[in-house]
Amino acid sequence: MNALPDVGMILADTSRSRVYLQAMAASGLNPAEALVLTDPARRPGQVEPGQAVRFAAPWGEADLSRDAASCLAAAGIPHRFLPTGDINGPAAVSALAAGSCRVYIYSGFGGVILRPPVLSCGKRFLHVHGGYLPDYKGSTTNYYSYLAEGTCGASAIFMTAHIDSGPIVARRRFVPQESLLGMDHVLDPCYRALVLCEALTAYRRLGVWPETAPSGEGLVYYVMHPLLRHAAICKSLGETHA
Amino acid sequence: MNADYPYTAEDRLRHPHGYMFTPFEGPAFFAAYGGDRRRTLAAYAPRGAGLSGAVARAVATAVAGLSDPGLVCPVPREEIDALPLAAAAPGMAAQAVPPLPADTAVPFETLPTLRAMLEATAAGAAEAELWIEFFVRRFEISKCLRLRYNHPEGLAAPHADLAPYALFAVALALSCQGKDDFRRLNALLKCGDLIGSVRGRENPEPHTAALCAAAVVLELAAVNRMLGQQGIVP
Repeated sequence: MNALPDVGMILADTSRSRVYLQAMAASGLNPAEALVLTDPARRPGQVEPGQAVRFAAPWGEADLSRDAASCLAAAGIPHRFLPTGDINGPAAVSALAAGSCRVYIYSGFGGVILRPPVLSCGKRFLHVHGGYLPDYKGSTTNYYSYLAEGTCGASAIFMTAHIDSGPIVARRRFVPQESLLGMDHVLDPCYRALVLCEALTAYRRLGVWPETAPSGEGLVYYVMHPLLRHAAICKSLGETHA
Repeated sequence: MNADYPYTAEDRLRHPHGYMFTPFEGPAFFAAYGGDRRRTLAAYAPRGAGLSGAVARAVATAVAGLSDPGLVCPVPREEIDALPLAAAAPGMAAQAVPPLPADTAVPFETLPTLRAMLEATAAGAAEAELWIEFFVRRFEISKCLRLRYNHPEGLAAPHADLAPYALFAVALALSCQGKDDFRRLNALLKCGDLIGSVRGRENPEPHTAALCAAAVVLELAAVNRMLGQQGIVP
């Protein structure tokens, strides 16, 4: 009943996907169908034992111990598991090309770049970048923006061949209300989930995607060195627990 | 609480680190980092010779402030006094430096271009910016610097010796002196890990050793400045 017609999701079982699915279900914004990338090996972004925490989220509660399959089943989202974890591989490309939706929310494994075969399969991919675009492109940008200006961000974009440069559908800055210790599996997925729900809500209300071209080029950031990461986290601990 | 600094534990020329999802070790990590860089400094500085001009002046300024006990990662005065760099007097005659290539898209050899980039950076030349950004991008993506770029025969092999990394690190450090440039400091830290990771194995020629030590000094100064500005104190 709550499904968004014409919007599917392709996901891997990461902390981000778990939070997305729970936020969308709580907001009545479920995708019409889902394709699940699988990989027997542990991949970046997956929940480690000890990280499967429950936490208060703006839509109620998020529970990282609930895996993607149980979230999909509980929400009644039709889904199937792909025999691959490679979004750029032929199995994923053909499954997407045969999919019934025109737009797919992308939430795959961490550190993967979508290549031309999948980007040209006839679908559009709605991705939420963990940073405020176009200012902060690339990786670990919420740590960088926190060091530079004390804020984090998330931006929903349609993916193109140029990293983090597609049309922007929704974006927001956040001032962290807690330390950055939980950035990777709690804060960043929550920020992204909120912006994803804003984008989907706008689409449901308007019937079209409210896309705007990014103004300005911004800079590309690369995976943050542990020393800078420690500086960002220690700064946040000082500010929130002083 | 003690912390490890594992990022120089392996030869980063042969085994680059991805730096993805690195663990948080608490504030003790800063001391672990500082200890690691002091060991790198002690390994390269005694072998070094040949700093001159703007690099020598920048190093002398940085060294003078590094023993301040208010820093998160200070270098004890006795260690500084033992370094030939502390004197940082103008050294050997400067090598002849070729001009920078016309732009970053033409085929070029990396080592002479890095020498020219360091010279241009030290002189505050505007064209150095383009080249710093070019090499930051290449180094961050591939975790190495290649022998040459843009040649028609395709991707060149990575440089397997320290000289280009030492030149790159010093130019990078000079380019972000006194600025809040976290992108460049990020690349500098990774290049510092690479230089430190081979400190027991490599025996670079004196000018490269001096540049390695200079890079560490300038990096420590930049890190301490950044930590102070972020309100992180000992």
